[in-house]
Amino acid sequence: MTVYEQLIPEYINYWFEVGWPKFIRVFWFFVLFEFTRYILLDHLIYLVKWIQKPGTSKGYEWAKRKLFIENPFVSIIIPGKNEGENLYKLTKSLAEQTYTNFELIIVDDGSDDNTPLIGRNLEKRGLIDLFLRNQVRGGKASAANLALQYAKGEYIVHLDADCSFDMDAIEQVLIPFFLDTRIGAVGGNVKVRNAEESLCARLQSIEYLKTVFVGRIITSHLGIYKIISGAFGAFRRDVLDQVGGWDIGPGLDGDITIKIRKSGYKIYFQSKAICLTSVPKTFKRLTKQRLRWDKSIVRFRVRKHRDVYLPNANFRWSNFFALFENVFYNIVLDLTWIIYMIDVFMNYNSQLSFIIPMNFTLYVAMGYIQFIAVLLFTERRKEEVKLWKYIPLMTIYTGLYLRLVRTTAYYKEFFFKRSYEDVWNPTKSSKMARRFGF
Amino acid sequence: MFELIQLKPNTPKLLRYEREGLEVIVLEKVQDVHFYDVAKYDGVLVQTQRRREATEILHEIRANTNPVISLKPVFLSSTLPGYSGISYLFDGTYSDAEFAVRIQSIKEINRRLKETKIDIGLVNYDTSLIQQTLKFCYSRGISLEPQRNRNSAIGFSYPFLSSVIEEKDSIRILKLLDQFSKVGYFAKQTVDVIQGCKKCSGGYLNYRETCPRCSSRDLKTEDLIHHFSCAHIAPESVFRKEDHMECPKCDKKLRHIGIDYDKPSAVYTCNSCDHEFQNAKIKALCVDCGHDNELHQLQRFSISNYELTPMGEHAAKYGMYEIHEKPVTSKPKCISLAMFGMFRKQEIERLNNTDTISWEGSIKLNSEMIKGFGENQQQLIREEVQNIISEYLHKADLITSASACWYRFILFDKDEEMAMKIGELVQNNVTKLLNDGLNDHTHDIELLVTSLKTENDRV
Repeated sequence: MTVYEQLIPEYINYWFEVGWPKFIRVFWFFVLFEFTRYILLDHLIYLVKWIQKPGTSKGYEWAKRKLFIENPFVSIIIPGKNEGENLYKLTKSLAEQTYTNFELIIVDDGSDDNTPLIGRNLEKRGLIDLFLRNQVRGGKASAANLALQYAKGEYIVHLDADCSFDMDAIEQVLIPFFLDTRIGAVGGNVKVRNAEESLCARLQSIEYLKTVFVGRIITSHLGIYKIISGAFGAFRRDVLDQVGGWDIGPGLDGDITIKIRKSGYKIYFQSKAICLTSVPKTFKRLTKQRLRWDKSIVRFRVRKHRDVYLPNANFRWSNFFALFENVFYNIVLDLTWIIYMIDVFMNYNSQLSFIIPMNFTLYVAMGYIQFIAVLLFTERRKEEVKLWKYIPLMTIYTGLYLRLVRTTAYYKEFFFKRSYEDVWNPTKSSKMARRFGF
Repeated sequence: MFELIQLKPNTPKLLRYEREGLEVIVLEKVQDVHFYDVAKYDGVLVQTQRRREATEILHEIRANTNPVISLKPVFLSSTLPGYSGISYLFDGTYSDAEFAVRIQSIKEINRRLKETKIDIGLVNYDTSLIQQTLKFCYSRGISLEPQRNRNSAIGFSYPFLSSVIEEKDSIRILKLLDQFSKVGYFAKQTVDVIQGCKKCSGGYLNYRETCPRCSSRDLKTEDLIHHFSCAHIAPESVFRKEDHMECPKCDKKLRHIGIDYDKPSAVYTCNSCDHEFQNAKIKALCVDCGHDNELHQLQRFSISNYELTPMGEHAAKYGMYEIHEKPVTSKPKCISLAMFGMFRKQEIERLNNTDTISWEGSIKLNSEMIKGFGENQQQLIREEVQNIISEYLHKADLITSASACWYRFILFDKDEEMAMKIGELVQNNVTKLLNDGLNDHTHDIELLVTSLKTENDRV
């Protein structure tokens, strides 16, 4: 045995010995779906964007100039419940913005804490332009719609109260509207602010960088970007009026994005419009959040908007692929992964000692390669590179934990429509939404 | 028995109660107050069926500059409609059946009025007014109870005072009463709190919802409707379709509140500037001066019941000395014994060349309790007693004290009666301090007030 062979672990040498055909046969799930989508595609897109960069930069500068010349009035709306303690910080963050021609509308959706007091006070001090309160809670969608009702801006920027923003965030999220008139909505780039607070938050920080940041750059470039985060998104007012505003959630941000796509508008992801948000610090709270999010994939992308898969007058390939990619990589591959696991355990039971470590190695390696993609795209390279040591844990986080949560959510939603029972929405609204298929 | 007589045609009737030797004048017109010498009668009955006439007669009597008239017992015919609104102006009502009772009341008021003596040295109008008020309360045995009165700027009237002070200036009554309560003539008990205009203190305020942006009162308010099934929310008018309501977003009919929709809140729209808001700014327009007050600018006044204290009763009977106009700055300062001696000597020399008299007072407290106190506590008592003495002295007068138990003071240019009165007041209040403040009932106070003109230099 050579020195070189001695340095490489036995389970890797094993795969060199058996050759590529068997490697692909055993790790078909990784090779077919994960590697192609998350490695090949990501880097291919990066390459394309890198090549196109000089051209887009020119268009971008022109759009920016046009934004400031036209100086459209913008309404920033923030619906929420019990968000009082976040409001002052939020107003401070917005006061720093480079784009200033906006009004700030806060909707308090039946808070039972001191939010009304804080909101009224900020309104009196002129830090909020309009503070609206629903005495009776109606849910986030109705709160957003109420803000929309009184918004006077040409563009509506929807934010979450617990977020903070880069000082050019509003400017950046508006610029794409001046790049292409067919853009109906722009998604901001949501990153994690509290990564230092727990391991759970650090893992989410990496996840956000991979799926929200790089993931959405890729889908946006391919024209299949399908979710504008509720935390930070900008919409053309006329487009929102056209689609009737927000429908009942959970998952109303994804729903409205699809509605806008179906209306024939483009959706754009603006990676330069940076918003920082606080993510759940514990796995218990994270599980609750993800169950809610994942149920909405079934509710909206499989059930409510199933018409995008059907050949009708409104059919568009881009919409089809946007939802199909999402449903395929989440729901279909979730089931396929179970089949894959059965396949491995039934056919290669005796070689598990070589398969499991190799599988882990592959995912860790893929994690680092994806992380390289993150570092290639990001503007916060120095801060985010520090997360590198947590990449190996992402295999367990995304490969097992999130997959398990996701599968549970799909099961509950498919068979029991549990999203309509979520306390996130008032029962009165969920009941009627279920009855009328919203 | 009593008889009702009319001496001459077109003159007021008189009610004579021979056994008691009482004569009461019956006034029917406001002119009668001027034409006839009301002061010489024992009381007044107001006999008219016109409220305005009655009010004017009562005002003329109570606001009369002659205290003999202003404090006169006055009764109003119980047949006058709506007399309760002016009840602060008279002592009671009468009817034919109640004459005997009222005669007793008149007798009693007059008897108590006779107990009160003339004012001493009252040159200040406010003090004089309060002196009259004290006498009024004492003679009637009543406290100053606020009575609701929509004509008063503060919404309340006080017996006697409100007939003297103009209704638009009613806030002055509160200030006066509070000022003299602090001195100790009245015990104050708050019964209500009112808000007054920042500019004129008027209590007639019109609270209005205004636009927070342009202050316009032209506002429109509308309920918001939240349609459950599609989460659409908009003003009610947006949902209105002739005879039913329909959601403009999903075209569904809204049938049942609580099932299909609810009304989570309401929104104002300003018809002047189109501003939309949920919290209208409340402003208070002063009906009297027209000033539009922000709520936080409004003044707060407490409306209280003012009851005569023993000190107040004493002042009613024996008179007040004008000492309260500037209670802090007008007090005489306590000087050293040596300086006191020097001033005393000079004053004796001065008195030898003039006709005026000055008085020297001396108070000795024979209290074992005080003597047993430490130095600090003795000093506190000393300051307290000096304060009490200075309350009754003119700012030009002098005080000194050698210890917590011995005090001397000089009263410049006073007549004997006033000097004795001041001495008595000082003694009473120092006794009260020792009794109530220190709970020392074994003490003995020696008071000596002597004329400096006849005294030899003793320091």
